[in-house]
Amino acid sequence: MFFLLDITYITYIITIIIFLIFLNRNRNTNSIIIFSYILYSLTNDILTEKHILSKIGIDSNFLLYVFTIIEFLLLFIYLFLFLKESRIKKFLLITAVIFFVIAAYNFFENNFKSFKSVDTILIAVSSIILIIESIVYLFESIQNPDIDFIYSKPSFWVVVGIMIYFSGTFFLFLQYENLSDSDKKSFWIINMICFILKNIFFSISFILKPENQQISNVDDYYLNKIE
Amino acid sequence: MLLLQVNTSGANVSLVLFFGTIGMLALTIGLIVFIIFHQRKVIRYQMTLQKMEQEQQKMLLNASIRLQEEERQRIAADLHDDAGPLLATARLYLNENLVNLDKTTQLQSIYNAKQIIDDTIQLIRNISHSLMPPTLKNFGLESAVNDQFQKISSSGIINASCRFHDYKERLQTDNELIVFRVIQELINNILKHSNASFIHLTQNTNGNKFYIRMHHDGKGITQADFERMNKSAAGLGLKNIQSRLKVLHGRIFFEKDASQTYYKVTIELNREDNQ
Repeated sequence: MFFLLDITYITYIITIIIFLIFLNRNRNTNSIIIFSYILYSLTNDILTEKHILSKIGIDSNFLLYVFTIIEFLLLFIYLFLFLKESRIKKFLLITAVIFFVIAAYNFFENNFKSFKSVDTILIAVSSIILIIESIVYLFESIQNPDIDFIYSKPSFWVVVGIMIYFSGTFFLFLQYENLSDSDKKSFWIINMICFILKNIFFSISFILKPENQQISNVDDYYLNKIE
Repeated sequence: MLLLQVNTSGANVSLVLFFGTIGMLALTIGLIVFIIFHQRKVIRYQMTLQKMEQEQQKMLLNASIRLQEEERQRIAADLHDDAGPLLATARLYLNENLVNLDKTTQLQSIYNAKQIIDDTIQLIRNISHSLMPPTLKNFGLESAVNDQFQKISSSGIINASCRFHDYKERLQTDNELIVFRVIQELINNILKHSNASFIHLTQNTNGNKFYIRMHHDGKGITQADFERMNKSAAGLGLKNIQSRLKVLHGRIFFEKDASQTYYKVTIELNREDNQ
């Protein structure tokens, strides 16, 4: 368990180092959103793990609650920037509004203080919206008559990371409140493994050249890839 | 989602969680793998199409280069085999000894040399006309095609007729020559391969479109045959037609008449591009 926790922190650091090594190719809004998300995620994990803010009266569960909202916001914006179909975008915006309504309702329902460590409904809604958004991204990508392979795009690996993490942890968060304390500990491994995978996929996305710097001309493609 | 929460309890929770997670991950990975393989398939298909198009372009280019070389060889042969000996013969008649000959022989030699020079002039004119028909240059496509059809018809082998319905505004001279060459190539094919008893050409316009249609009652080809021959190494003349029409952004259609009696060839051009 602790071994996996260490690996999670190591993957965080590796991802940050990779971002800094390939800083030149990551000077774009999309990479910065993901990098911000990783930094925020790392900070939040440290704060909740060590209960640092408890001393000043801020509950770790509240931090996790805020993290769910900020995480959704950052990843939603990241994916939203890639989508083209306006009707789907409108639909996703409506779902995002629903998410924030649920978040606000839970916030007032908990009287600003007694938050659960895992807000099942909020995380489930967030997971469903982000998985739908990722699927839409993938289908829009294959409909695009672009000559580039989908896995040569950084956004693809971010989407893979998002999909693996949120689909892998979907049932864990959904059933979290029904689990016994021992089961919670043993099943938390799923979250860590998915987190490690997500960080690895995000690292890959930082290594790849951004979409706008890739070969789009067919002749160049032949010269570079066939020969 | 809520049902799952409410109905599950105890050991079932772990089971639902375990299989649910496995199922979700399997679905996600399956979807990602499907997307990757589907896209690879689409890209490979696009690349094959691209490659085929490039190969066809290459074949068309080769065909036009070969035809150009053949044309040059023909002109060189005409000049070398016909004009060369004629001029050499004329030179013989006008040799240096001519002044030492008697007056009658001198006159005869000069007359013979004049005859040969006239023949050479005619020969060179013919070569020049074959390169750029003067009727086409001076009077346009309609007159040139009429002229061509009259010549074919007067041979008595085949009945050839043509009618231009709407050709008040001429195409650009260069483009007229290209269309004329295409018509010549089509006529040549009909004469060589079809055993037709008649050829009829009509010209029409419809809005921005300019059409030339040829009918004949011999053995012809359909669009499928044309495309097949265009992709194969055979059919140099057809490739030449294709490459010429490409210059004009024009199209050509080969079809069999609905009555299954005639073959039709339609050339379609955009008037705005070519006037």
